[in-house]
Parts: sequence; structure tokens; C-alpha cells
Amino acid sequence: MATIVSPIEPAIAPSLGTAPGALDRHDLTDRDLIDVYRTMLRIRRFEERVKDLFLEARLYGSVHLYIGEEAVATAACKAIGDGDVISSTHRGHGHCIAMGLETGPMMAELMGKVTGYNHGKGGSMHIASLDHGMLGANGIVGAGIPISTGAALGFWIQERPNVALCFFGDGAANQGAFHEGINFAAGLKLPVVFICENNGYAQFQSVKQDLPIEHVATRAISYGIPGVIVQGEDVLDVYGAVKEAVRRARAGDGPTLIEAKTYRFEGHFLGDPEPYRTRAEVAAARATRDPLKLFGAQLQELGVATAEDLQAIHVQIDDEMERAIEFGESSPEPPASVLLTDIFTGADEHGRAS
Amino acid sequence: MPLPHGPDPVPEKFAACSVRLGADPEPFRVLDPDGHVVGPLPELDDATLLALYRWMAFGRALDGRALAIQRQGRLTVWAPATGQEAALAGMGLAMESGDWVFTAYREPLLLLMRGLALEDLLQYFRGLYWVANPYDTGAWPIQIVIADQTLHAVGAGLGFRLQGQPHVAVASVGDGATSQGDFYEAINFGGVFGAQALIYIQNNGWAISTPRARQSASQTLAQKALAFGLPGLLVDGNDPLAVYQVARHALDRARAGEGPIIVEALTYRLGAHTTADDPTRYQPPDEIAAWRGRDPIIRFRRFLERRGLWDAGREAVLQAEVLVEIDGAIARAEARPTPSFDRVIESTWAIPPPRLRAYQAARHAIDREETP
Repeated sequence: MATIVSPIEPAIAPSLGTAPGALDRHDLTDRDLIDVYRTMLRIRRFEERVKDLFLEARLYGSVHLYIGEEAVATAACKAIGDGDVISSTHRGHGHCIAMGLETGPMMAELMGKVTGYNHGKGGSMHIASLDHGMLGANGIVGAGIPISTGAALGFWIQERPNVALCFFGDGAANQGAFHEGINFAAGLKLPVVFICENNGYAQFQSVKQDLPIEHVATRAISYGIPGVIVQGEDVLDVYGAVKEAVRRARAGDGPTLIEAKTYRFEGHFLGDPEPYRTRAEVAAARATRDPLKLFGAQLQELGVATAEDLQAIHVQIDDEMERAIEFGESSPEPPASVLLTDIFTGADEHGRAS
Repeated sequence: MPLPHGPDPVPEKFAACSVRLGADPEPFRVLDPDGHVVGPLPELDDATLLALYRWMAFGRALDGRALAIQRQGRLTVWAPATGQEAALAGMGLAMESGDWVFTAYREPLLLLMRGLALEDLLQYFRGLYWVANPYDTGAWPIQIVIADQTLHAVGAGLGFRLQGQPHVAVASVGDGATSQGDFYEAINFGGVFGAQALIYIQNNGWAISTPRARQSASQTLAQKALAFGLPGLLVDGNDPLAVYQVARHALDRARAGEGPIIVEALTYRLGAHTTADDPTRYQPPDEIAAWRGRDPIIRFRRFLERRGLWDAGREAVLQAEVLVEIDGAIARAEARPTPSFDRVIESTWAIPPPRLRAYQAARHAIDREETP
């Protein structure tokens, strides 16, 4: 059940979220629901295989896994359409997959291969595909906020009916870019939806230590926009809230700040010894807040899929991951000659304007 | 260090002007625009009330003189505070010895009230650098970069807390500064670590030519305090007795180590942004007329007149006195020798880098050649 914290427009409260005890599938068809499950599972398996490859030294660089948070990206990206865009974070694999990027070129990108989305020069934290409306993962905390606000400003200037979704974490909510971006978007009523994935930890610091208030969504009050809290492991709850926020954005009513309470099952990055939280806390979250398990049960409750149907999807996805890894590993590395391409437009190899 | 989770309840007197969820705050007010008493009076004796009025009149007269001599090329720039004298003088009166204040460029009156000498301040606006020692008065050099004094005040306020000193650092900013990332990061950090700081927003309606309505979609700027779990108070910035009382409460609270507090004073810039600006191009004439009717000096003067503390004769004497005082400071500032170039480097670097030392030496050589 979504909770509205901003006093500015409490009138939107009744249309958001699901009533307690009743499953609200919103406008999602059976096919849509299965599709959502498939996407969430694709993210989970991709991340699991990335972890394996990393530990086997078949993949290098810093990797931040999205396991436990799959419902947020999947539901949010399901609520937008053609021409809409998203900005992502350093933990961006899930957002990429939710926007329809293929796992083969993604895996190739992580491996630094020429067949990757950024020709192997971006890596895990910089996957971008403008064809998919994916404006990019970003290694800088909070940097996606001004980027998506800028994209929304472009839609507004060009009078295009599109929206931008902006994903960021609880740590980014303490950055000046958060304040400037949302204040600007709210002032111009830009078509952007700000989605804070509050996974409880900014790197190694608990939100209890760095956030002086209980909810990030309360900060919506600073900008005169609605603030909404959703359970991040409940894919239908997230979908309902984002769908309504996207409707408002498209209608010219301006941005919404949505806080998804979620949990990161893995460390901040692969190799994080996690001294800041207990194993029991993680085990409890895995047992009770696994979005995949919860949604699998919901699909069966709704009569949309049987356990066998879901099992078949698991087999398909496992097979897809094998092919993605094979695609990446069999692809060539980029030649040294392309080192300075794709950096500046209209510039020579030294970055000078032509 | 304990983390403050949410603001403490404010005293009953300030409940209605305090920001909270689901209700619009009413600005705290003591005097109506005609100087009638409509709220609780502070406990100030007659001498202090008159001193407060004198400071406000001094600020207005200083703006007039400074604008005139800037046009004569005797000052590089001036940012008049005409219309904001109550917001500045109320805060200046409420601060205590040992408190520090970090301002932008429109707050000379506040700095002078804290003990900065006018002739020292004028050196800065003559295009020289800051000559006064901030440790003497707690009046820190003017910050031109919008909102960055928030960082400085929060840092100082954290220092006061860590050293157990009973002082408060005040950041004086405008409405435009509230949209800056530095403003946000500073207050958030100060809130988490309990800095002894007061964030004082003088909302004068205009950030150069950007109106308040385009600055932020939030109804008040004080309500941004809720984003940090801090108290936020709204005050009529053209009412010196209201500003004084709200400032006093906020300073006491910060001094007691209860964390930062945000105060928004609603006022209006009746002059130009600076001497390089023409506000008639953007400020609506009816808006200016409405705010002229709320002139803080007229309001306070009428209050004093009704109490038998003021009349036309005293006003005439005061006007003559402040001009003599201001002109004396201008003359002293202009009579001072231009400080040596070395002071620019010495007041910036503890150990100047080699390139700068080489430049310094070359410059000295030129000076020697030019000196007959």
C-alpha cells in the first residue's frame, strides 16, 4: 500500500497503491504480468551469473549487484512507453534489462568486448543505449538526477508527450544535485518521476546514520510536489505508484518523488565484507522480502501462472544467460585505435573541436 | 554523537509561524504596517528600541550615500538593502558577542552591527580586499558565491559544538541561495551532526531578476527545514521586533546544542540587485508600490512615535548625524593608502607557491623602477 507523505496534493492518495489484503493488478494483462516476472528473473539470473564470472576471474572491474531490488526497476519501466527515457545509477544492470537491453551485449560490455553497448569502453557502470531510452548508468552518486531533469526539460521544450524516470539511491538523496535537480523540475513542472531506491545503505553507511528524517519521500515537501512511499519488493505496489506519477507527469502536473523501500541482498560491490550489517539481517530480508518469490506467489494466487509455468521460464532464462556469456566471451576486444572515439562529438582524436 | 530525529516542539508563541506537515505557517508579527502592536512585544528598554531604529536609519542612509559615490567611481559596486533594514537589524540585535556571521553582499548593516568598522568594509567595496580580522568581531568576509556561506557557517557551528563553545554561527542567505546544492548539503550535514548554526533566509522576493514564484514550487522556503528534520520558522521580515524575537529564539536553541534551525524572513528588495542592475525591467510597479506601503523604517518609526519616543525633530537630528558618521568613514577609507600588493598574497596563502613568489619578486622590481 503506497503511502503519501507530502501535504501538497493529498487528493491523489486514493488512486495509488493496492488496498490491504487485495491484489491489484492495475491495467496489467496476464501476458504483461508474465512479462514482468520474466524481466525480474532475467535481472536476478544476470546478476547471479555476473557474480559467478567475477569470482572465477572471467570478468573484471567493479560490479554492483541489484539482487533484491529487481521489482523496482521492472515495475517502474513497465509503467512507461515508447520514447520515454530513464537515468540510472552505479547499480544499473537491472535498469538496463528492465528497459529491454539485451543480456548478450550487456555481458560483452561488462567483459570489455567490442560487441558491448558501449563497444566495451564503458563497463558495468556506464552502460547506455539511447535506442532503448536508457540514458546511462553513472558512477557518480546522484548524477542521474540532473541528467533526467535535463531530458524532461527537452521533452517540455520540444512539446513531446514523453517522461523521464530517474533512479537513484538513498545516499544520492543527500547530494546537492538531488536538491537542485528536483527543485528545478518542480518549478517548471517537468515530466520526470524521481524514484529513490532506498535499500537501507549508502555504500557502508546505514540510512539511520546519514538521513536525519525517517523517509526520503518527506523531502518532496521542500519542492511542493507529492512524495510517495512504496514497498520496493512488491512489484504491483511500485507499478501502481509509478503509473500514477507518470500520468501526472504526462498531464503537465510535474514531478513526483517516490521512495521504494527495498533491500540490497548483496554487498555494496562484489568483495564488500559487509561489516556494517549482520548476516541475520540479510538472511531475514532474503526470507521475507524477496521480490521474485513474492511475485511468483502472487501470480499463482491470481491464477495467471502455475509453478510449472514459472519453472519453464526459469529454464528459458538460464539458457539465455549461457548464450549471453558465450556471446561475450567469444567477442573480440576493441582495438587500441578506438580508444579516443565516442568521447567528443565533432572533435579530433585529441579532443580538439574540428 | 546522537542523531537528532525531528525537531523539538517550538514554544507556544512561535507555534503558528513554525512549519509542519499539513498546515501553512503564519509569519510571526508584532507590528502591523502602520506600526500598531498586533503581537507580543519583546522585553527591550527604550534605549535599545531607539538604538535599533538608529541602526535601521543608518542602513538606509548608507545605501543612499554608497549608491551616490559608486556612481562617482569611488566604489566598485554596491548592493543596496533598502527595504530589508528590519530583517538585518533585528538579527544584528539578537546576536551575542562571540557569535559569528557569514553573509552575502547585501548585509553590510548586519556586519556593522556586529562590530565591523564601516571604513574597513568600504575598503572592500573600493576594490581592495578584506582588511578586518574576522576573529575580532565575528563578522566574516562577504561571500559572493551564492549560498556558500551556508557551508562556512555550518562548519563553524560544528566547530563551536566540538569545542563546547556557547556560540552560534549564522548563515545569512537570500531566496535564490535556497536552490543551490551547497545550501542543501550544508544544512543536511549540519543537521546530522548537530552544528550550532542558524540558517537565516532573507526572502526579498527576487534573486536578481528571478521572482520567488520561479525559485521553488514549495509554498515557503522555511518548510525546506522538514527535509532535514529541523525546525523552520517564518517571520515578517519588515517587522524588526518580530525578527528580533524569532532570531533570539533560534539563536538560543542553536546555542543549546539542539542543532541548526532555519528562519525565513519575508521582506522585499526595494532597490536594485546591485549598481549593475535595472530592476524596473522586471519588478512590477504595483508590487513595488505595495511593498513601499510596508516600509520597515516607517513602520517602526510610527511605533516609536506612538510611544512618545520619537518625533520629527529627533528624526532631523538623526538624519544629519548618520550622514556625518558615514561621510567621516568614507573620508577615512579614501585617505588610507592602498595596501601593498603583497597583502593580497599574504592574506590568501600561508606559504605562497613558487610561481606566485616569482611573480611577487618581479612586481617588486617593477615597483622599484617606477619609484623615483
